[in-house]
Amino acid sequence: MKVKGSDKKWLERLDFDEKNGTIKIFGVRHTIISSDTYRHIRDSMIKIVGPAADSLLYLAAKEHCQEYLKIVLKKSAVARFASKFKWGREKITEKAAQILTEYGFGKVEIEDINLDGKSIAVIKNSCIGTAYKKHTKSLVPVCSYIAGLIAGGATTINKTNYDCREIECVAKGDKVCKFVLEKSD
Amino acid sequence: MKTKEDVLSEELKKFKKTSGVTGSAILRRDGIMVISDFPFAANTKGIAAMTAAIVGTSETASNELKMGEMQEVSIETSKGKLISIGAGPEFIIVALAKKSAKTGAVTREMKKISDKIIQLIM
Repeated sequence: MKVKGSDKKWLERLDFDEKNGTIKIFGVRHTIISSDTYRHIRDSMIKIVGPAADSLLYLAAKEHCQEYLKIVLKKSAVARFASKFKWGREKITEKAAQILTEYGFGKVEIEDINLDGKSIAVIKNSCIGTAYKKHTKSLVPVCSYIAGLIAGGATTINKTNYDCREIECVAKGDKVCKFVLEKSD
Repeated sequence: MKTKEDVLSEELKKFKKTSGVTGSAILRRDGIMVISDFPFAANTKGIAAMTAAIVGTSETASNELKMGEMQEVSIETSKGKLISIGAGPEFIIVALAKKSAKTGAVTREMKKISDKIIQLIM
């Protein structure tokens, strides 16, 4: 498998076992779903549950990411470098955010980081936002799942409850997807 | 000058004087809590998302079954009642009530708050 880019530390650990039909990263089993599959799942949830679907997806992603990061951060280069170079919380958070880039959620850039106040992350080519953009213009941000992952990641790394909301989204016609991360009320 | 939040907070306090009502909240239909007055510490974000999902799903089921517009969702538990009604196109009002509370009386008061919310928003 070819991995583009200079930082291959995460995805180069991808272990495909053809015999058993499994993909594992750091020993954790994964599967690959298309952006459109996610779009269909969200659309079906919206059709059944209504606009609350995004809150449910957000909370599900947040909880999942907290558990997931606990397992994989121990085994990843992020944890090793953090310990070796005595990284602070902000540096670890920035590095962990790059995991989203490596997983194909889009190109993550931290615009501003203040873990005691407001942090802003931008995602170019959000896999969810662009899946909608090519079909229809949404009136609301659609990357609630990614917002949940960011909140869950920040919560695990900083051992404090964080929340994240998407304030700009390519699905709405914005140039990028923009997320605000803050400590929970 | 009172903010919209102040007005709604006062409405919830008044509502709590309704016989059998123990707590209440106003939330957005997308599952975001606006204001809450629960009798215990609660995971308000989770509750808002779940309640909005219950109301949304009930509305969808009502439409699918051609039962007309949904008026209220009432859940009776071993300890009490959870009653939810829509408040305009954007909001939901939720009430927690004792088992002995009269649902009709509670929803009448909730509709008054709903009218207030619609007035404030329009």
